[in-house]
Parts: sequence; C-alpha cells; structure tokens
Amino acid sequence: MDDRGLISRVLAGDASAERELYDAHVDRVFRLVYRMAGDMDHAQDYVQETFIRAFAKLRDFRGDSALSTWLGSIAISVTLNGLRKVKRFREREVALDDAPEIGRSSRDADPDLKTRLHGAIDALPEGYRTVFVLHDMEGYTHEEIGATLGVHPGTSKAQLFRARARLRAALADFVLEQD
Amino acid sequence: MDDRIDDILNEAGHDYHEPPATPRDLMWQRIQAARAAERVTMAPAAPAPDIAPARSRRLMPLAWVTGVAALLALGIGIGRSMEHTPHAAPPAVATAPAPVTAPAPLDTAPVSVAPNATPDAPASRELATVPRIHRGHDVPAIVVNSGTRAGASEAAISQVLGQHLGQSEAFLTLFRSSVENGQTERLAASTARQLLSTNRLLLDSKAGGDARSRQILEDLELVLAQIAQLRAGGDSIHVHLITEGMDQGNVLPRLRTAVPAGI
Repeated sequence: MDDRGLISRVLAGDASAERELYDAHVDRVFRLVYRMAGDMDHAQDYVQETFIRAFAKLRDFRGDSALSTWLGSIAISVTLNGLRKVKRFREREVALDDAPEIGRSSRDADPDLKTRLHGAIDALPEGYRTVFVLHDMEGYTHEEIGATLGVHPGTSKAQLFRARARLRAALADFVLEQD
Repeated sequence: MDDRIDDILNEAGHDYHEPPATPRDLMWQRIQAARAAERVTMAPAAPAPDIAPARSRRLMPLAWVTGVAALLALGIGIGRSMEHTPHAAPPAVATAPAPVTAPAPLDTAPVSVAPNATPDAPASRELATVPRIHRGHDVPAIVVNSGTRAGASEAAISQVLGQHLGQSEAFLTLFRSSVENGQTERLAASTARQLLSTNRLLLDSKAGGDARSRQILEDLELVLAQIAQLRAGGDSIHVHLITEGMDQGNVLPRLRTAVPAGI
C-alpha cells in the first residue's frame, strides 16, 4: 500500500482511508506497545493515544521515514511517558505501605527461570529495554530501530549488546545453581 | 556458559509480555470517540508556532549559544575540580559539546569512560576497572583500597551528581523556553546526548544506588534520551510528547529541589 496516497486521502477527509491507515498499522503498534507495557489496559490506552495524536498531526508528517516508523516512534514516546507515570504512582503506593524498595531484585524470591528473566528485562534501563524488545522480540533490524528511535544503527547495536550483557549477568548465578 | 544463557534468552525471552490478539474494533471505537469529543470541545486552535516573530527568531539562536556556553563553562569547571581532587576516583563527566556551530554527530554512542581523561592518566585507568553494577544490587560501584579513598570518591560522586543535575536543569529550562517560542535548535539533541552520557554513568555509579538519586536520574534519562533523538527542525509531535512527559513527571521542579544550594 502506498503510504503517501493513503495519507493524502486521510487529509482530504476520507473516513474510510482513516480506517485503512489504522488497520494497516495497528497490529505492529499494538505488539510493540504491549511488549513494553505488559498490561492490556495500559497497552490499549497507549495505542489509542498514539493514533489520536498521529491523526491530529498527520499533516506534520514529512515522509522522510516510513509511516510505520513514524507511528512506532510516537508509540514508544507515549508508552514510556505513560509507564513512568504508572511506575511513580505504584512507588508512592508502596512507600505508603512501607514495603521494600521497588526494583530491588531478590535472588531468593522466585527460582523460576522465566520469571527471573522477565524480572531482569523489566529492570533494564528503558533505553536498553526498548531496543531489546524491538530487536529480539519484535524482529526489528538495527536500521529500523535507528529510524524509529532517531539514532544510528551502531547505537542500537551497542545498546542491545549492553542489554544482553546485563541479562546474562542477571541469569548467571541462576544457571550456576542449576549445574 | 554464555551460550547456555544466550539460548535461555532466545527461548524464554520471547514469552516476555507476549501480546494477545489486537482488539482492533474496540480501540478504533474509542479513538473515534475521543477524536469526536476533541472536535466538539476544542477551542479554535491557536496558530501553530511555525513562524516565530522575526525578533525572537534572531534572539533564540543567541539564547541557545549563551545557554550552551554556560553549560560548557560548567562542564569545564567540573573537569578541573575533578583533576584537583586528591585520591578521588573520578566519575566520568561528559566533555563540553563540540563548538556550537558544529553539533556532535548523530551517531555518537554513549561513552563508557571519562572522555576528557587521557588514556594514561591514573583516573581513567581506575575508571576502566570500575565494575558495572546492576541497579538495585548492593554492589559498590567503585573499588577502593582504603577508607580515605572511599570517602573522597563518595564526595566526588556527590559533587558531580549535583553539578550534573544543575546542568540538566539549566538545559531543560532552556529547551522548554525554546519550545514555547516555537524553536527547537538542533543543538538541543547534541547537548542532550552529552548530558545523557553523564547521566548513564552516574546511574551505574554509587549515585545510582541511592533510591532518591536513582529516581531522578532515571526520569532524567528518559527525557534526555527523547531530546537526543530529535531530528533537526524538531517534529512537533515528538517535541510536545517530550514536554508533556516533563510535566507529567514534574521533572523540572524535582531537579530544582534536588540540586544542592550554591550550584
């Protein structure tokens, strides 16, 4: 499908073109957002907000990247902003309950490997986690990641390398325990 | 063992937040409803700030040059104070940005050692041996041999943290005001990258082990990373997402509270 033609129709007020544009991109956006958010309600909110903003600013889209790339970059910003709000709200709740500090992993808490790995991914800095999710889970190339995040593909590779190094370190003692 | 762990990452990692089927129709209904509601309630849109008054257009580049020059001076001051601190393990500090007419290349990756330290200086050798830590683990970020060095290094980190927060506050205030004037100079991205490098190093240092410091550094990381990715000219949707994120996170007020008096 030709993005430019579709965008022109949308900007001309063609309602069916709006739905076409949405249908063409929503799956990819939803998968990306859900991977980052891990929660259906939040994922839906962020996807909806992404498309609301995209339609509102479609006239600003310059076409120097693919429309899917532009939508992906909006989705990531919306999701990270949203997750930060959620994280701070949850931290305030925990503070009120005098619970242990959030984010401190407990090696004794859960021996399950998958749970340990998922916790380690959750604990990655957002930049590393974003690249890890895009590349290793959603199959984006480093060139696509670079275009989406506005960085050089080399930066994407470096961040993925660091993300994997942290995850290996987080799992190393667990693997040793199993031996 | 690395191969085993890589296999685990590949197999178990794919289950991480495995997406269910996309609820397309439900989301589309909500999107249309929200857009319809916006059309009804929205006041006539203010003119898009695409063309700033000619006077402020001339002034804004000067404001950026002045602002960046101030950050340069502060960065150089940090470097010099680190050189003169005895027995201190110097946390890495981002170098002053490239001359204002030549912003840093877009593909600059975050540095992992003090860029303004010579390779043979004891400071950089020591920094090169700093083990990377995982945030939240009780592992000291800097290996020291004596109590004196530990105390000096903590003081140095605390000083660098305070100065970094001050620099970041100045930068974000400048960025915010330029957005309100309809300008986002391309220097913003290159300056953000420099601050982001320092921010990440601080997160990996002992400063990142303190809950309060870590929280502000993590929020700062997100904002700086978003600005660092801005293209020249600034896509307005991304610029507004950045400023909204700053507002939602109360980033500037929290920075002003966190910066020690006198910085």
